[in-house]
Parts: sequence; structure tokens; C-alpha cells
Amino acid sequence: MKKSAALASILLLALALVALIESMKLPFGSVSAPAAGFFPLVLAALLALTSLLGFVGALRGSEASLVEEQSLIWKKILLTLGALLVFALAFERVGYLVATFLFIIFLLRFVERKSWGLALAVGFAAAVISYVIFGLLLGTPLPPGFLQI
Amino acid sequence: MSTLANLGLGFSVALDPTNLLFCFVGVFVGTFIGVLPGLGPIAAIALLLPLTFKMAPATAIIMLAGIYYGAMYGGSTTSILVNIPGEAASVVTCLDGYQMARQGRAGPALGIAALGSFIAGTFGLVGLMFFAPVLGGVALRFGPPEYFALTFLGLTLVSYLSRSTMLKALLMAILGLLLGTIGTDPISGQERFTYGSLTLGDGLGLVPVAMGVFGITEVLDNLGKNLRGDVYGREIKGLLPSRKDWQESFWPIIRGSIVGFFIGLLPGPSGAMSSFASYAMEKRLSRHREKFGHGAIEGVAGPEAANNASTAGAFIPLLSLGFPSNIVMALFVGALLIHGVQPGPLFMKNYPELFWGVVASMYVGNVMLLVLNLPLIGIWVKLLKVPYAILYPLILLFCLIGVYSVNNNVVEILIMVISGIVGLLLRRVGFDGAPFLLALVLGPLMESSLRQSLLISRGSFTIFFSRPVSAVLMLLTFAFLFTSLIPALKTKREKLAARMGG
Repeated sequence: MKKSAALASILLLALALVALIESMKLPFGSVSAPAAGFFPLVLAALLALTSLLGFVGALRGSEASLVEEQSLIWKKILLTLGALLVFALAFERVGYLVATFLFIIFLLRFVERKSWGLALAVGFAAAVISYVIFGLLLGTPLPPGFLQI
Repeated sequence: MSTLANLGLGFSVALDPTNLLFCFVGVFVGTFIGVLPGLGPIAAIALLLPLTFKMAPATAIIMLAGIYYGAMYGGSTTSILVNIPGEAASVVTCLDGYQMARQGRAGPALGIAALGSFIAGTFGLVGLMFFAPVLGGVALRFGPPEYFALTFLGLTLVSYLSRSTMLKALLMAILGLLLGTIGTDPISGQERFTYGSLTLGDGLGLVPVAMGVFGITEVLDNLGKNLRGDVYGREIKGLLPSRKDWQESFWPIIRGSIVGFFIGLLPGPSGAMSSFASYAMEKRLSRHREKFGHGAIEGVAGPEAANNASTAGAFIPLLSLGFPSNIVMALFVGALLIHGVQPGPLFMKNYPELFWGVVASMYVGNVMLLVLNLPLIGIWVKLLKVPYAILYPLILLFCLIGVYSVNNNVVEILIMVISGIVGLLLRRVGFDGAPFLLALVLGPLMESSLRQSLLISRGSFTIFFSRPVSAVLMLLTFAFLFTSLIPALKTKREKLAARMGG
């Protein structure tokens, strides 16, 4: 945990430096008449400072007690994230009903290792019921896809 | 007398059949979403927000207020039955509520939470009636320095009460402010950090980021842990608290209502602050302190009342100053702006039917919650018994529909997913999402008020200390900042924050 906290601080410091360079490209104005670059520049500098302090603190390990200890099952998390990204990129083309059906089946069958029967049943029910509630009753515009509904 | 006449106007708006129907829809859907672990008021509002675009402004706001109340109540239900707080404000309810459920007293715990919220809602309504006009008068004298000081205080408070260290909380707040500058500069109209993206031109949307950092992060964290809360199994009977329960809860509810209302006026995480303050107060005042944490009904009644009263309190800065003290209030501002209604000092004067209609509808919403939830509790319990493996794909689906429905923009789904994974990684190393999100909400207001103040004062920072209201707010802010840095007081803050974070 000590290592990952230090790494996080370094990444935030890098972000702060990028923001610092980028805000310098914006007009700063002056303190008596601040322009568009003023606030971001001040914030980027403050972020750099605090992340540096955070890095020092992480190396000393003085804050370890507040960090969660329990480890995670990263495989499930990555699979779920992948499913979310594919859903986001594909569902306008594929259509709401089909994308949702496949999304739920994937999570239940391949992430949670439930039976095919359960996955198909929940996937079908979730797609149809949510379509009726949101698409038909509440009028949320859901992409029709190739099914044209 | 005019207040009563206004309230009459309000009730005539709130009791209009259409408004009544959508108040019901809001309360019902809000409770449903609030019961689902990991989803709170933000997700509930996002799901129904598009529906409000086509409504009359009063109907829209009435439904949104209903969703908010419902989601908060749903959060208390999960706290009591499964020990999973829906949001920060109901963390405290877990302490004694879940213990009560384990002792077979889930019924009275749920009942007193509903009744306590109802009484507090009534109190909050009265407070709102009398304080909003007063604050509306003060609001006219609020200039940029006061607004800046208010945002500064809000961010300091949320950092102070964060479950991470003060340094990390402040870092997250600064990060939130920085990401809040993405988009069009509010004063000059110049594009900043958009890199040609149309979606980013309007800024990093609040809904996708909030759903990511709260909803997606929560789901990923839970499924990675294979977490399963122990749902209270036995049948729940006797929701009505006994006479003894009433005697024990009466004063905690009254005290909670008063404390909650005034804390609600403060900027920052007032829901969590008020419920915690009420819990601490009841524990101190109690004659059987040892029962706290082991199923003391006062520990449910007081904080639940305080939490509800603080909501009414938080509407005052929203409606009179246009100042959103939390993310939900920011969504309200967004909803009002869509209808061309600008919350602020002139709001009450220009839109009396809207203001008083909302006030009255909060009362109606509370009555509905009470009537609705006593019979529906059984359904919520069944919902909670669905295994998490089946529940979370549905929760993710709600997040996806919610974000997509607001603007029909796929880029916002991507923003949500990215926020979710970044939120998870940051949480793993001890960073807290709450200061980040409040900063994202308050950033634009903070920036424009800072820049306008400096223009007025020609670059002198003394402007923040030479005007009375702003000076008081700034001194409070610095008091919190410095006490959190002094070592002796620092450990005390950490204990407080650790208890608040559960």
C-alpha cells in the first residue's frame, strides 16, 4: 500500500505539471484583472505542492492506517470494466435491447459464472422490462439499432 | 399572515393532481433506487431528470424533491436491514439501526426512521417558511467576496470531515477545482482544456462524474470483494414503535430536527454532518450511554430526523442565494436553469408559486413516504435479498441508462466509466471522492467570484476580510484549516472522520 500511495502521488504530480504547462498557454491577466488562465494556474501549482507533500507522507508511511487493507479480485473488475466500455462503444449501433441483453448475459455467465439458463432469463427480463419502463413509459430516447425498435 | 397566504398558494400547487402524481412517482422511484446498494439520490435523479424536461417547472422540481427524499429514505432502509449505508448521511444509522434489526427490532427501527423524518420534515418546513425570507433579504447584500468565502468554507468543511487525511482530502478538492475549469471560461468565454471535444466544451458533466465516482466505483469495489451484506432474514412485523420507543425517541427527534436544520444552512456535506452531530449529542445526553452501538433507538431517531431537517435547511442557500451546498442541490440548479429559472435572491419574489409550491410539496412528499413505505417495506426487503451477483449488473444498467438519458451522449458514458475506475484506484490508496465532487460542483462559482472580487478590489486580498459576512466565513474556514494541521487536534479530527466513514 505504501508503494501504491507513493505512485498515486507521483501520477498526480505529473498531472499537475501537465496542467501547469497547459495553463501557461492561456492568458493569465493580472492579479487585479485575472483572465482565463489565472485560476487553473494557481490550482495546478497547489496540486503540485499537495501531491509532493502526499508523496513524502506516503514514503514515511505515516498515513497507512487509513488505507483499506482488504485485497480485491481484479480479474472480475477488469472484465466488468471491459463490458462497460464495449457497451458504451457499441450500443448505439447495436441498439438498446440487444446490447443490454448481451451485457447482462456476459456479466452473469462469464464474470459471475452463473448457469446459462439464469443468465439468459435475467438478461431477457432486464432488457425487456427496462425498455418498457424507460423507453416506453418514461420516454427516454434509447437507440433502436438494427432491430429498429 | 402573508406567510400563511403564501403557504396556501403552495399547497394549492402541490395538491394539484398532476403534481401529486409526479410527487408520488418521484418518491416511489427514489426509494426504489435508494434501496439498491451503491445507488443514491444522484443516480435516482439522473434516471428521471430527462422526464422533467417536458414538464412545467413546478412539477419538475416537485418530482425531483420527491426523488431526493425517497432516495434518502431508501438509504436508511438499507442501513438498517443490511448495514450498507446508501450515502454518507446514513452511515450513522447503521450503528444502531442494524443492531436493532439483529435483535429482531427492524420494524420499530424502520418505523421510527420514517416517523422521525416526517416530524423533522414538518419542522424543516416551518423553518424554511420563516428563514428563507430573512436569508433572502441578506442574500441581496451577498457580493462576489461572500460567495467566494462560502465556497471556500464548503470545501474546507467537506475536507475536514473526509475519511481520508486532511492533506489527501484537500488534494482531492484541488483536483476537483482544476477539473472544474475544463470547458468554457465563465467570464471570457475562452475554451480551456477541451482539445476540440464538443462534450468537454460544456465542462466535465456533473452527472457522469458523480455516477462514476459514486455508483461505478462502489459496484466495482463491492464485486471485487465478493461482498454480501447479511440481510435481516426474519419477517418484519410491528412497524409502529411502542409507547416506550416513542418516549425514548421524542426528544432526540426534536433536538435532531433543530440541529439538522441549522447545519443544513452551512455549505458542504450537511447531511452527514447533521446526522453525526445528532448522534454525538444523543450519546452525550443519554442516561444509558452504553446502549449506543448496541441498538439504542435514539441513535436511529435523532440522526434520521437531523438528516431530513438538514435537507430542508439546504434548500435555503439554494433558493435564496443560488448556492448549491451539495451535489443533489447542484442538480436542482441545473434542472431549474433548463426551465429558464434562475435560483437566487430574486427567486422568491419572481416565482412565488414555484417557491411555495416546492416547500409545500416537500411536506406532501414526507406524508407520502410515510404512507408508502410502511406497506412497501416487504418489497424492499425482498429486493435486498436478491444476490449481489444478479443485482449489480442491474445497478450498472441503471447507471448507463441514467447517464445516457441526460444528453444522449456516448462520450458521457465513457466519462462515467473512466471516473469509476479512477475513483476506485484513488479510493484504494486512501483518497476520498466527496471533496473532489463538491469541488467540481463549486469550482465555477468559486472561480468567477474570486475573479470578480479581485477586479473590484484591484488585486487586493483584503477584500475578503474587510466585509463582515465574508470576514466571518473566512475566519471560520481558516479555523478549520489550522486546527486540522495542529498535531494534537489532528488526531481528534481523524477519529471523528474515521467514525463518520464507518
